[in-house]
Amino acid sequence: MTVTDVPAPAAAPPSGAGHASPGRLAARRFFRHRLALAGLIMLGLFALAAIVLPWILGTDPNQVIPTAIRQPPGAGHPLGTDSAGRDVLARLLVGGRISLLVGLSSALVATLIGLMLGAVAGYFGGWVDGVLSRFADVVLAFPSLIVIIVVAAFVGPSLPTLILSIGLFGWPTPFRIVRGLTLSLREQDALVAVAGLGAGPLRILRRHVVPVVVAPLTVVATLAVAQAILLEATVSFLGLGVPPPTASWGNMLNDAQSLTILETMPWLWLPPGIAIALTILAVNFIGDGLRDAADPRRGR
Amino acid sequence: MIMRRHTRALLAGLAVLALALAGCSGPSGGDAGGSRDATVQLYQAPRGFNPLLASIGPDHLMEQLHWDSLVSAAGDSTYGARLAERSEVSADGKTWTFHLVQGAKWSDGTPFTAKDVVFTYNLYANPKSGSGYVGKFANVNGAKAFKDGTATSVAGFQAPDDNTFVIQLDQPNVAFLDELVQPIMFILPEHVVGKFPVDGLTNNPFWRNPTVGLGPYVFSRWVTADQVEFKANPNYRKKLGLDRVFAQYLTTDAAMAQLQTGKLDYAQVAAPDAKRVEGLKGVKLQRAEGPGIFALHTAVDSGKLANPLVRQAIMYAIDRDALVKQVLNGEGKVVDTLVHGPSWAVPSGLTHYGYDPAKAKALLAQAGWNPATEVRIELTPGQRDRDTAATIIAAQLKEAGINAKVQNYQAAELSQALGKRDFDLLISAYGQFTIDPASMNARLSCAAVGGTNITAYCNKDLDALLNQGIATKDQAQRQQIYAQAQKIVNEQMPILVMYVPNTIAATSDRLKGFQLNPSVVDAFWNAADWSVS
Amino acid sequence: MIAFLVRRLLVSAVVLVGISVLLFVLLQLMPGDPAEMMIDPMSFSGDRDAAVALRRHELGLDASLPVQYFHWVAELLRGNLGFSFSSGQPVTQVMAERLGPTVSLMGTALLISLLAGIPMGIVAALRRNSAVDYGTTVVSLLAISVPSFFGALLGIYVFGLKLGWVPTSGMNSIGGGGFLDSLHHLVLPACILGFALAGPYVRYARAGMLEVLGQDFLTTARSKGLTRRRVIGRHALHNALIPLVTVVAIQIPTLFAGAVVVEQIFAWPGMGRMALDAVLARDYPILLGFVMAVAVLVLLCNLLADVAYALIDPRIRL
Repeated sequence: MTVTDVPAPAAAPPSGAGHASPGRLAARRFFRHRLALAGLIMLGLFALAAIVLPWILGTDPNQVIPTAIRQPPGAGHPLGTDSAGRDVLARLLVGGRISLLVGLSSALVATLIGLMLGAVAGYFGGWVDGVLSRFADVVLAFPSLIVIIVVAAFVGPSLPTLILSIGLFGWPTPFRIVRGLTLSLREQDALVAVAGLGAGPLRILRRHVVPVVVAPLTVVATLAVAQAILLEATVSFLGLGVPPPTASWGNMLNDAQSLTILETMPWLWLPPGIAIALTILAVNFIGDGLRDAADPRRGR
Repeated sequence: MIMRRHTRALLAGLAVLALALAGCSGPSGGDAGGSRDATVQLYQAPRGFNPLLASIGPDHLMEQLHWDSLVSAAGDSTYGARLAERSEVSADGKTWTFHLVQGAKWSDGTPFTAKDVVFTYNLYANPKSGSGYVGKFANVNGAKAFKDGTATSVAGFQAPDDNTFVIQLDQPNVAFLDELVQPIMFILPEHVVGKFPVDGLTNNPFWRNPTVGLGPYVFSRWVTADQVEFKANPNYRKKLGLDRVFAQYLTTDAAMAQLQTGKLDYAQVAAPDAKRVEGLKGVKLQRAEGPGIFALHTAVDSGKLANPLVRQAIMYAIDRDALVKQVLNGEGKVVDTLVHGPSWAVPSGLTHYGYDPAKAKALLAQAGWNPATEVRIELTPGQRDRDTAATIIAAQLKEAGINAKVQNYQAAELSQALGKRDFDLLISAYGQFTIDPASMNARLSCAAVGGTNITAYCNKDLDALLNQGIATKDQAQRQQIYAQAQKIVNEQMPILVMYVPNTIAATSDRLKGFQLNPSVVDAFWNAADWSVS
Repeated sequence: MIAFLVRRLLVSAVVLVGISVLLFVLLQLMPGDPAEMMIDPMSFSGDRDAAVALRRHELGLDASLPVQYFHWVAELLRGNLGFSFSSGQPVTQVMAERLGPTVSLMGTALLISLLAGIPMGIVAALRRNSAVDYGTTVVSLLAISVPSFFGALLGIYVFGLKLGWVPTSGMNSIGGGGFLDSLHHLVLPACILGFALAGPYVRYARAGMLEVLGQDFLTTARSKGLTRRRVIGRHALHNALIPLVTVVAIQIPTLFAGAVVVEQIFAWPGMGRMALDAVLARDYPILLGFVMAVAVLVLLCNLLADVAYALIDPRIRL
């Protein structure tokens, strides 16, 4: 893992540009990116399972059966039971909901903050831009995991705390993109002209900035989702994230920090671990594909 | 060209790393194989050697190697002689006389005398020293004058000669010895510590790097923040079987792995790991019924669980047999009172709270319990069996109609909750309840409210019995008194006792003379008898 | 250049003050009082409130917040970061003890990630759109996606428990065992951490290389009759890799995040574990010291990256 905030550049973009509209070109490139498609399918299945399966199965993820502790997979418990006799499959599915919830909402928080601040920095420029950019540099370089752990200790671990703190430290990447694009809009005098016509900053943001930044922002937001899921799992694994008894993939793995469990009870730690890895991988695949699709120049 | 430059830079980097590695490759020269060294586990990171503080387990263990005290808890849950070869109480129960060993010396060669004991006990009775045990001596003659500042020392601590130490009490207490048992009340060297100002004594660097000791193996150095080296005390009163002891903080897992490689000679074993360890080659597993309890504590004064019927309901609602069998893998025993030993102190006919959810519901209904009332189960997370037990207890209470939830607290928050008297069912495992039934005084007497009686339970009938119990010398009478007291405790459940976990220790085959002490914090009590083959 | 450096250092100082003030305020809001914790209610016998008050006084926690802060700053300027609440040791000493293990772990991991990541990225770029390229992409995405704690558990399971090749935890065997023993303990955690780090480097190296390969001067070089090997070895690599220096510089602080996790799992006595322990034990002085150290490192690395960039790329003037 390692919580890398700096977005990596694009992966292999398949070349091939026809004489189609930019939109269709992007779509084709995206779907050509087989990994992205695979990621989309994978994530779709996971999401579907996490949302629907608990209802179908009807097993309470928090139901404790003290007489059936650490049962290996078998009838009744397809993935066995955990150390408090709870059904691992039910917890895994509910944990998926938490992961998706944290991933999407913190990415949303980060993107919105980045959009606002980036537009402000780009629109006003000058010292406002200087201060905000400097601030973004520092936040970006600061290991967010450490900050989030410290914050969790301050306010006590809880789901909202987690979402907010992940979101609050994820804004610099979208900020940079929005700032850059707004700045270039400004240089094109387009904004100055519109502003001269009496349009307010919010209107300018909505009408002129948002349409331009939406594509690159989607890419960044997707990667932010992967980042947030990873952070949630890590913080929960360290025992400072989603508080029990709510299941999360991270805190399920927290239980496996013992050699005895690691060696003799793989059903307790392999499923959540694989689930985290595959989910993040799927989101990263999608993000990667989106990036290629959104940025035609990469096709070079 | 460029590549070559990069390669060179990489090589230079590697060299630096190698140096860094060599620098932190830890204690060199200690090869555990053939030497007369032993390595023992500390189950938490050690802090130091200040016995005045109400300190943590690993410090207790290290202090047993470095310091010595008047009396210890022996392996069979009786009093063990230490610096006091014999002790006796007068007929009126007010004068305790300790006959100290002859010719004992501090590690620097200075003779150990009763003056050291008087000096140290005065420190323990002095809140300015940071002492965590002032409350134990409220009953000592002159303690109040000392505390008020009208006397410069406690009159009741006396040294009639170099080998005799006397404590004069205001009120009789035939079980006073129980207050002084290891791993606390270690004796300090007056010729060293006496030179330090009492104000700010806690912060004195001496406690981190003590220069003088009295135990079999004295502090030598901090090898790392997690490892301490002890050397055989050249002036110890017995011939020692080891040259050095290394005490190393290791998590349970790391300890199990090191046992396997034969690098570790002693480790505490968690119940779920016992089976695994039993299968290891070259490792011996020893187990004993522990002296402590795993219990739920409620702030009785907060009123939430003040009704004994509710507490009884909670007892019936929890399947404690299943907890012992499943969570502890059978390594424990269900008990129904706080004091569960010695056998004469446990009367027959106590109510056994077997798992009975229906009865729990009936009792709750009778008590008029509001099912919406939230009951927190507070614990410091990190110990797997406890975490699991808390989860199960919460679920079972919910089934019985109590709105229970697990509340994880870090140590600092937990202490604060205790200070604020704001806790519902706080999980703690502790204590030494098997030598003398008077050990329940600290937890249940009215006098200890605000101190070690953390539930603040105060019952006049029980209190009268407890006072009578320590004032009576006749064994038959004491038995009767405590039978009554135990009945009250059993019925009222001021502390909701769950079970007594076994103490399990693993030792390497090469370590000889290790004798298991049921109390985990007393594991090093007979270190003077250790040797390696 | 000098004016730039001075300005940046001044800004950094302001940022540091800001972070320290913020931390100080936040620490006071943290639930749980360290003094309360030190006077263990389960074993303390006597007037606990008085004892807690005494301890708070000894720790300097009874002073007002600004007083505490200025006291801390004054001590800091004298090179004293205070004393750990839990062990009573000077914070500088605790951090110094933990620095060695952390540096050896993070340094080795960084080295592994560079040695593995950069060649992979270069090869992928040279064989663009080949199976090798796609494989590299997947591996690098895997490295970014598999949480290091899960990777560590898997590694312990496979290499520690099943194959028995490496120890499952600790930095060296008890009683020591010299350099080789340390290396034996280091291999697994460093590889886990290194693998996680390698992901981004693969992608940076690949992208950088692609960018350079498309530039005009290479075409010129080729047209001058230089062999592909020479062109790539002499010109392309240089131009592609140098920007990586700045990336690495900026990434160094994030190593600490990885270290927190890996050190925790492998019971590695480094700064990451120290920080986590300090959070749990409310050891304010240690926590302050650690976060400030990371902050200094962050600012330093940022500055370093800027300077390096300017030195390398003559088009940028500071």
